[in-house]
Amino acid sequence: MKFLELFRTLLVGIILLALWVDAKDSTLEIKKDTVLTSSLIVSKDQTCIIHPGTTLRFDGYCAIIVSGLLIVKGEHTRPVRITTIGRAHGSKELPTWKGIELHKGSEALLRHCRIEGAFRNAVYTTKPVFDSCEFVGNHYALYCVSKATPHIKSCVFTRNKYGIVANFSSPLLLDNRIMENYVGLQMMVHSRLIAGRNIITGNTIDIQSEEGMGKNHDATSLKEVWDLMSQLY
Amino acid sequence: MKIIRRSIYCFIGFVFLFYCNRQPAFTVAIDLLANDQWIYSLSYRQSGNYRWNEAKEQLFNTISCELACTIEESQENVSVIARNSKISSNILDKSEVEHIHQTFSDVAIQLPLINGVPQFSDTGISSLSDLRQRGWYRQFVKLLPQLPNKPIRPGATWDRDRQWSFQTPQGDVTGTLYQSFVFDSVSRNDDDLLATIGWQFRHSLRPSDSGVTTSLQGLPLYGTGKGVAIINLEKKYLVRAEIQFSTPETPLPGFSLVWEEKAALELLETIESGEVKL
Repeated sequence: MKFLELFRTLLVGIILLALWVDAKDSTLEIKKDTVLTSSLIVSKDQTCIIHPGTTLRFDGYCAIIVSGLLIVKGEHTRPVRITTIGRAHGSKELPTWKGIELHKGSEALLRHCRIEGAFRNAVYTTKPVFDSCEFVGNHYALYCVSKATPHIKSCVFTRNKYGIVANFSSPLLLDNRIMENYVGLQMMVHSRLIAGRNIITGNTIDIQSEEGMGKNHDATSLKEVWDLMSQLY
Repeated sequence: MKIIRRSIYCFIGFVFLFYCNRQPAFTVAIDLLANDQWIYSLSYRQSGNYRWNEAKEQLFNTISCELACTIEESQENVSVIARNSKISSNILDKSEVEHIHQTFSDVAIQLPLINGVPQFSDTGISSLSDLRQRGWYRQFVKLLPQLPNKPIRPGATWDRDRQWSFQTPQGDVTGTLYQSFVFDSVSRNDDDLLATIGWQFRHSLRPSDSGVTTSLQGLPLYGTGKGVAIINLEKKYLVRAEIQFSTPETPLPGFSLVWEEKAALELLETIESGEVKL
């Protein structure tokens, strides 16, 4: 009897421990085409893995909000695609979803991933890796802020309003093609670019640099001031 | 002796007259638990008056919407959701206007209730993950008066200040809001007894590190404003509130900016158990 009781206690303990470990380190894996009707939130202690060949479509103005770990494991012949329902491939229509937000403390690795139709894919104070990805038809294809230092390698940015925007951040760019955007690369005040070979051509404005207020008479500087004041007050 | 007696009688008479003429004290309070749902109209305009050497320009955004404030079953929280929003702007492009429109529909703020009064705690703002939600939270704090916990007479004054930290693209900033309130007056409108509360406020900003300081150099880091609210004293609800806010002109040579904001909140209808009241 004592042995049975001991065995029962041990068994319950093991089950509880397994549940605790599972809850503490939960991983979401997306292995097949999926339609999401609400934002995908990857919390601080969570991992989300999107497998090769998967298409993730949003039905509604949603976002992928990452505070934990995001791994997009696309392959050259089986890329991952993130877009919305009903959006044509390569479309330049208005954005139909919010975009990916990589928050402070998050980690992300996106490889062979095509991101279409987002308003803004934002990187806040973190160092994600974008390798061989495509950004098509977004408003801000990649918006790096607040000391973010993303590694962007062998990516294509095309048909976006803004290709890469660096606002108080330092993206590392290597072997990327930034073409047919309205603004290819926009460097805001206090941003630094660490760049190797990149092709930035065929954009309405290839590279736009904000010198700071009072020196640049371009209307976009007003826009930057506007955005800042809106956020401050 | 006669003089002393007369002085005492005068003094007693004076005190008696003073207490007779003094206005009664009122409990100025809001109790959202009186109904299941409150529908308010909200209008908000932000404008920047820019002068760049000889050129002048006014850029603006206006947002109007309905706020549906629904009391949760537990009566411990009120959920505030924006709907039917309209946006116009001469600075934002179509994509950005559409983005604001879409995200505005998702703005849902949950406020705890204590005795029917919504609470705007300092932790409440930091719990909102979306930067736009935080912006709206700050606007509500500026727009809604804080009411005292005890009965007050017209002419009474009180104040409050609060701080919050938030993130900008350049880094963290701490904002401080100081409000000074006065119970202006009481009036009667048909069957309703209405209190008018006025206030002046100052909203100032402090960058958290030197990088942010440099980026914000030249921008106005404080502004002042005033507000007024009308509260139904007997039925305990906010009838209307409005604020105006502006910053001083920036000191940069060749460039000036004055930032202005106006917001107004007005009760449209209340709903109790499926019944609509106007």
